[in-house]
Amino acid sequence: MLLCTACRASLSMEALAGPGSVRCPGCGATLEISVFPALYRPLESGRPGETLLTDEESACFYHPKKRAVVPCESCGRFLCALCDLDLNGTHYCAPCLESARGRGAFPRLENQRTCHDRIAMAVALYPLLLFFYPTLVTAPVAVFLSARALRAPGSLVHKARIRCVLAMLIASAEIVVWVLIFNLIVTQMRTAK
Amino acid sequence: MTAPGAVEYRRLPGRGRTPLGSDSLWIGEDHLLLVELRGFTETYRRFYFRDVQAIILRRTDRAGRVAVLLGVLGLVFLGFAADAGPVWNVVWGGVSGLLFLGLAVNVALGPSCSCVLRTALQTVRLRPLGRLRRARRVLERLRTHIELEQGTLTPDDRLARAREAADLEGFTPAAAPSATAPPVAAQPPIVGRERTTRHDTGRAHEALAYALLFSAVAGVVPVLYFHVVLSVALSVVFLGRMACLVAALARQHHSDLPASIKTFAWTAFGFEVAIMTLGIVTGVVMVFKMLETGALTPLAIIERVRSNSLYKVSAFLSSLGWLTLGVWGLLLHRRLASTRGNTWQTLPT
Repeated sequence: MLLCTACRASLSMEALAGPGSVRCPGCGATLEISVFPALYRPLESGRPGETLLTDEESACFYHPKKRAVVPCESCGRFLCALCDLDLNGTHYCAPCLESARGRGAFPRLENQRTCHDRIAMAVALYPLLLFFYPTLVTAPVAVFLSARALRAPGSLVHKARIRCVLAMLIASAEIVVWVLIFNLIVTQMRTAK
Repeated sequence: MTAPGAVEYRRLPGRGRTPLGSDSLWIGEDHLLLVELRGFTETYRRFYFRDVQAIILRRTDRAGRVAVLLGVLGLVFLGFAADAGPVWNVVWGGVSGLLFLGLAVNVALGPSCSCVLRTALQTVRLRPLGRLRRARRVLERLRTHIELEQGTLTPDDRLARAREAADLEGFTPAAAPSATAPPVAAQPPIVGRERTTRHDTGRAHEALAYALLFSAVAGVVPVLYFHVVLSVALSVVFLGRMACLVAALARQHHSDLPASIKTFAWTAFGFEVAIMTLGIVTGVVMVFKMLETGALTPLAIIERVRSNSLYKVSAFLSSLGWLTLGVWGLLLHRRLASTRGNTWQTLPT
């Protein structure tokens, strides 16, 4: 069943039948609903492991009473149907999958990444927008962060490292300006003497 | 272990902005990727084409509200530009131009909408698809991928399957939510901003209506008589009104209150924002003018404000606005109470 996204009223069966717009019976909102076959498909249930019947059959490493159906392609342990985790046709056990996910070996399983390039850019740029003085400290930090961001895994979707390069350039320019300022001060002090 | 290769993504049009970041949509080989950027962290949510059950577009009036706000502010700043001196007219004219440019962009983007994607396990709002035309274009593109994975359904097929599902679930359609019987349905949890609707009596809105009425009376007093104590008391009234407004906006979020009452609270919010913006801008202009004459003292400011005819007119107009809003709010609350079968109640004194 589908509900109106504004007032959560139930929508009529006719609403599901056509691709055109329908009006919600509860709040009168105009809805354009696109329904796909998955809406009517029952949820897939997990496969239970089959019980081991004879001693000649291989047993699951994690469930000794269950019949093994496939080996883990990472550690080679025998797995029953319950323990088998199928990832695009490749079979893994849960610990191998978890450790690989922790190492970032499966981009498809990653659900969060820190954008180090954005951090570097913020450290390089924000102090510049407020006052120039903090850049005495933040510019070297920004150079370090940019260098680290170049090696760290970046965004899943933005592959280019342009932000790292820009942050490094801005921070380098800030350092150059500070060097010039110090040079000017030293020159003036020497002239005064 | 051999790691599967990284997925190549192509960007879909649209960007949903939030106070803390932005959302974008990317299309992969077999799934749609929603990237939520919050601060310096990207969160990824994948919707496999084989799992998408429905995509629902709902037309909203957000674009219209933004257009009205930009238009009004643009006109206000244009007024300032017409009244200002040789330098300030350029500044205010520039601000006004930027606002009108924003208005033109807003109109060009077309009507706004809310797009929701539903799978068996979750219902997620796709913020990047906030404009109807763009959402339809993206939806057509997604439909091709989804139908490649799932196949297509004819309208007859859809109706037959919907009836089968309804027979299995004992589902009766077209039931609007009410205070006594909120809809209970086997619906996947809504992730993100949209959550289960909860019941609200509208007391916060009633309090807001009374606060607006009180402000309407109190707002004209300083025009007729000025005293420091009175000024402090008016500040307290202002804070109370703001508290009522915040409470009303917070209470109506995900509540079953009628759209009209929600509109009342948002209109009151818009009115307050407009008044404050106008007050701040006028104050800044006045201070700059007084700086030029060199008479910037608290007493001089008070005298100048009190003697300004524009201030008197704006105070009366504000009071009129509060009065209108207050009466409207009370009428709406009264109508709500009568439709819900409750007796009319006034606030405890």
